Amino acid sequence: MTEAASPLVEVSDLTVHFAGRGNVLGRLLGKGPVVHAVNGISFAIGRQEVLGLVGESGSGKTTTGRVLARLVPPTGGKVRLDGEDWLGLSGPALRRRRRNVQMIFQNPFASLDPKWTVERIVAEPLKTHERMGAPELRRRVASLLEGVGLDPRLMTRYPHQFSGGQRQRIGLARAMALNPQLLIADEPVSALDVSIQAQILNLLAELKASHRLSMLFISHDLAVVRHVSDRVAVMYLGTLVEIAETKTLYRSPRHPYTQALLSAIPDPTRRKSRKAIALKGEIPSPLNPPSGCVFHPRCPLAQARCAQETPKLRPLADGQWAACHLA
Amino acid sequence: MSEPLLSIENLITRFPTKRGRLTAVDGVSLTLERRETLGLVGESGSGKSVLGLSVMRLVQPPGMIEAGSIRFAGTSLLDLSTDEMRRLRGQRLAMIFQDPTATLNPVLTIGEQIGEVLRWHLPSIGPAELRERVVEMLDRVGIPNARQRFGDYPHEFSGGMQQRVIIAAALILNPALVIADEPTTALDVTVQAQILDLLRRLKDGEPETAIVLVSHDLGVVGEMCERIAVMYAGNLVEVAPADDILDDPKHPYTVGLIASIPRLDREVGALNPIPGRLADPVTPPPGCKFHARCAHAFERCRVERPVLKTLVPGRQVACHLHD
Ligand SMILES: Nc1ncnc2c1ncn2[C@@H]1O[C@H](COP(=O)(O)OP(=O)(O)O)[C@@H](O)[C@H]1O
Ligand SMILES: Nc1ncnc2c1ncn2[C@@H]1O[C@H](COP(=O)(O)OP(=O)(O)O)[C@@H](O)[C@H]1O
Ligand code: SF4
Ligand SMILES: [Mg+2]
Ligand SMILES: [Mg+2]
Repeated sequence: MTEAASPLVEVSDLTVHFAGRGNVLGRLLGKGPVVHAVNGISFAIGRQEVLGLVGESGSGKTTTGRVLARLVPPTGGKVRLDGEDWLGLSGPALRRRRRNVQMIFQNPFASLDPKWTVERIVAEPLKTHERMGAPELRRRVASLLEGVGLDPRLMTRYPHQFSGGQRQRIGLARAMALNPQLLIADEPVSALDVSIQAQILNLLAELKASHRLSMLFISHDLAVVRHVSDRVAVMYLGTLVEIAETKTLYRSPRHPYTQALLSAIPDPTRRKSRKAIALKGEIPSPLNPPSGCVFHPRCPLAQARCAQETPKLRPLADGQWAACHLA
Repeated sequence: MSEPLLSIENLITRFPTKRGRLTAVDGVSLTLERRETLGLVGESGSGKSVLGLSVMRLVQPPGMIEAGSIRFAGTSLLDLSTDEMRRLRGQRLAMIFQDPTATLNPVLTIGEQIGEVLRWHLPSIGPAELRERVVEMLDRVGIPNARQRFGDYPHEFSGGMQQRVIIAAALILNPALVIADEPTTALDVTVQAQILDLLRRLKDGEPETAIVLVSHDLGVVGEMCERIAVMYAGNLVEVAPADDILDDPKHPYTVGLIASIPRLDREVGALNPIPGRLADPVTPPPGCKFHARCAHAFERCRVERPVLKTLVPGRQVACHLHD
C-alpha cells in the first residue's frame, strides 16, 4: 500500500485500564479494582476523513481521544500515525510529531489559561514549535483568529471576556496554529446552544476543507455526529460495537445497541413515527463489565451464547462492521 | 368554559446586578389548561427557568417579581402569604429540576425525603402508612426493589434513578401542575428515553396533572407536548400547537432554531445558524429584541417592540411581519 492510500491513523487492540478507587494496600499490590475504560478497540481514520465516535457517558470516548492525543498512556494496543508507531515515539521525535495532532474540548474555558491574553494563548504553540519574530507572530495570530471568525482586534482580551462559542473559536485557533493533520474534537459543541452550535459546526467543516484535516469527532449527540462525520463508530462500555459509513449506520444500524440508541433520540422530524426500543436497566459498571458480549444483560435479542462468547467486530456488507453474534 | 388552570399576565421578574437591572422575564402572558402538557423552549438565558421559578414563587432574592399576576386554580399566587404558598407547593404545584444531585439532600435517605413531603402536608399520617405510600410511589416511578431501597441514600442511585426519586417526590400528592425544568438534560439519551416514557405513563395514569416541560431540546418537547411556547430574551415570541410550531414556524427566531438543528433523517449540507447571540438582558436592544439577528428586520422592528398577537385561534406570534 502506498503511504497516501493508507489511513492516517490506525488503532489496533487499544486497551486502557485505570486504577479504580480501592484500598491502599490493594493498589500497592496492584490488586485494586480496575476501571475497564477501553477494552481492545480497533479502527482507522482515513486521510481527510471525519470519524465520529458516539456512545453514552462513560463508554470510553474521551479516553480513546486522549490516548490518540498522547495525554493518557494506554494499557495495551498500538496506534500508528502516518505509518509511524505513534505511541512508541518519545523525546525529540515525539516533540516534532506532536504538532500534527491537536485536541479541542467541550469546555474551552478550562483549557484556556485565564491569565493569558488571546494573543498569547494562540501564539504559544507557534513559539514552541516555530521560530519567528514578534511582528510575524502577531500577523499569524491575527490570521488564525480571522480564520475562526474572530476579530483580530480582540487579541488583547482575556478568555473570560468571551462567550462560550467564541471561546471554542479561540481553542480552535490555537489548535489550528500548527496546521495539524489530525484534530481530536471532544464534545466541542455539547455545551453550546443550538444556534451557536450550528455556527461552530459550520466553522469546523470549513477548517476541515481548507486545512485538509482528519478528525476524530467525539459526541454523545447522534444528530450532530451524523452531520459532521464520514464514518461513525459506536462505543458501549469500552467496546466498539459498530462502525460504518454514516449513511449506512443511520439507515440500517446492525448492532442492537446502535439500534436502541438511534431509536431513543427524540427528534422533531420523526416525532410521530418514533418507536423507542426500551433498554432494560442501566449501563453496568466498568469495574466489572459483563462476560461475553458486554451488552448482553440489556440486549433485547440476547441468547445463551451472548453471555459466554465475546462477539468480535466482524465485517458485514458495505464497509459496515458490528460486534454481535446475530448481526 | 371554566377558567384555565394557570394564567400568567404581564409578568416581569428582575434581578439587580452589578451592571444594572437584569430583566429575566419581560412581560410574559401565558395560559395553561387543566391536563395540558406545554413545552417551553428557547436558548439558555432566555428566561425559561426564571419563569418557572416565578410561578413557584421561588425566585432567589434579591431577584423579584416586579409586576404582573399569576392565577392558579382560582387563586392569585402573588397575593398569598409565604406560608400559604409553601402549603400549595408540593401539594398542588411541584417543580422538578435538571440536576438531581442538587435537589436531593445527600444525608437523608430517599424514603425520608419523599416521606417528608407527605408528612409536611398530611401531619396526621402514621409511620406505616407513610412508608406504604412512599414505597408505592417509588414503585410507580420504576425504582426496582422499592421496599428494599427505601432506606438508601441518594449517592447509591444512578443519575437516572435519582431523577425518578425526584419525580416521585414531586408527584406523590398528585399536584395539579408540575413544572419540569430540563428534567432529562443531564441524562444520557437512553436514560432520557426511560424518563420521558415514565412521565408519559404517569400522565396517562394521572390525567389531572398538567405539565410545563422546560427544555432547550425541540425534539423532546415536540414528542411530549401538545403546545409549545418559544421564549427569547425574556419574551414569549411564539405560542402554538406543537405540530404548527415544528412544521410551520412563524417567528423568525423559531424558524432559525429549527434550521440550526442537525437532522437525524437526512443530510443538510451546511447548517443555517442564527447569526450573533442572545440579546443582553441588562441592556436589551430597542424594538424587537431579536432584530439584530433577524434576516427580515425592517425599520419598525428597530423601534417598536412587537407584542404577542393571535394569528389564528390557538396561534400567537410576536413579530411585525405577522401583524
Ligand atoms: N483518570 C481516570 N481514572 C479513573 N477512571 C477514569 C479516568 N478517566 C476516565 N475514567 C473512567 O473510564 C470510563 C470511561 O470514561 P470516558 O473515556 O471519560 O468516557 P466518555 O468520554 O465516553 O464519557 C468511565 O468509567 C470513567 O469514569
Ligand atoms: N439568581 C440570579 N441572579 C441574577 N441573574 C439571574 C439569576 N437567575 C437567572 N438570572 C438571569 O436571568 C436570565 C434568564 O435566566 P434563566 O431563566 O436561567 O434562563 P434559561 O432557563 O432560559 O436558560 C439570564 O440572563 C440569567 O443570567
Ligand atoms: S451479541 Fe447478543 S447480546 Fe450482544 S448485541 Fe448481539 S444479540 Fe445482543
Ligand atoms: Mg467524554
Ligand atoms: Mg434554565
